Amino acid sequence: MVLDNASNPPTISRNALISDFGLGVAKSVLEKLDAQDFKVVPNYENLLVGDVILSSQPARGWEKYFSEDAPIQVHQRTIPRFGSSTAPKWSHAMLYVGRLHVVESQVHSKSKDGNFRSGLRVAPLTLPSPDTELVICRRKNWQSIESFDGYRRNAALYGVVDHVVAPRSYDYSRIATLALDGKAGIFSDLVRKFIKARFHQSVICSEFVLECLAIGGQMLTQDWFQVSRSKDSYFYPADFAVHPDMELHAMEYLHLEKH
Amino acid sequence: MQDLLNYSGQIAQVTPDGRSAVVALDNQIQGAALAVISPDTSGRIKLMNGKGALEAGVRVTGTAKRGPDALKAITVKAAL
Repeated sequence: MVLDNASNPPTISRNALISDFGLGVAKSVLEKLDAQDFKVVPNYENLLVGDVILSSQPARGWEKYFSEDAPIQVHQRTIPRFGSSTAPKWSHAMLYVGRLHVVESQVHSKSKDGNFRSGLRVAPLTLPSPDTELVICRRKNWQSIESFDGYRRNAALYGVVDHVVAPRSYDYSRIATLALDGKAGIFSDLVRKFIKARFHQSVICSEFVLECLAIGGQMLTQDWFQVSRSKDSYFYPADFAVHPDMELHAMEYLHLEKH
Repeated sequence: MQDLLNYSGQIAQVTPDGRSAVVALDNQIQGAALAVISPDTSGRIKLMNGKGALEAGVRVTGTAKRGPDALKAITVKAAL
C-alpha cells in the first residue's frame, strides 16, 4: 500500500461521508470500516464510475500453508503473456459503481446476516489492511470519445442490475481447473469441459468485470468475445493491468477521523 | 450528436443470462467488427420471444452508435 503523507495523512470525517453519500450509503461504508481495524478509504474524488479496481493481497488463512502469495498470484506468474511484469500481483478485480461501492464476484465471505456467501454483490470499497494495495485501471483516451462517460456508467449499471437479475456464485471450480491445468492430463480436459458447461451459473471476478465493460459499456468487447467462446481462454485480474487499451492510476487514500 | 449507423450481421455469442449478445458484423463499420445487443437495445424482446433468451446464429440488422470498442446496438430485428 502507498499512503501519502504518512505522518500527516489526509482525513475524512463520518459527517463528510454522510453529507456526500447520504445516510444509507454512508452507513454501508461506515459499518464496514467499523468492523475492521484499519480505517482507510480510497479518495473517491479521483475515482470514475466504470473504473476497474484491482487489488493485491498476500495469502490469507489456509493459503499461507502453500505460499506467502495468494494462489491466483502464484498462478498468474506462470502465464507467459505477463512476462516479468509486476501485473501478476493483482489478485482481484472489481468494478467501481460510485459512492465508494463496487460490484464484484467475491469468494466466500461473511455477510451482514452472519451467513457465508460467494458470488456477485455490491460492496463498500475500503482498504482492509495495510498490506493490501489498490490501483485504478481505466480505459485509455476516455476523454476523447463522445459520451464516454455514458459508456462507463452503462458498464456499472449492467453490473449493478446483473447481480440482482442474474445472480451467480464465485467460480471456484474454474479456479480449481487452473490449478490442475496441464498436470492431470485427460482429467484436466474433462474438468475444463464440465466447468465451461456451468459458465452461466458462476463467474470469476475478472471475467465478470470484463462482461460488464464489454456488454454494458462496449469496452474490451473483443476480449470478452474471445474468452466466452474458447474453452482455453481466461481473463485474469492481471490482464487488465497489461491491456494495451487500459492505463493504471495510483490510488490515493483518506483516513477516517476518529470523531 | 452521433449519427446512427446501420449494421447487419449474425449473433455470435450470447451472455450467460441470455439477455445480451455480441453480433459479428458482415462488414467492419468505422473500424468495429462487433456490435453489442444489450438490455438497452430496442427490439430485443421480440428476438427473445418463445425462448426467453437470444440465440446464437440468428442474422440481425439494426441501427447502432459507435462505442469505445464496439457498436452499441440501439435497435435490432431479425434479418429477412
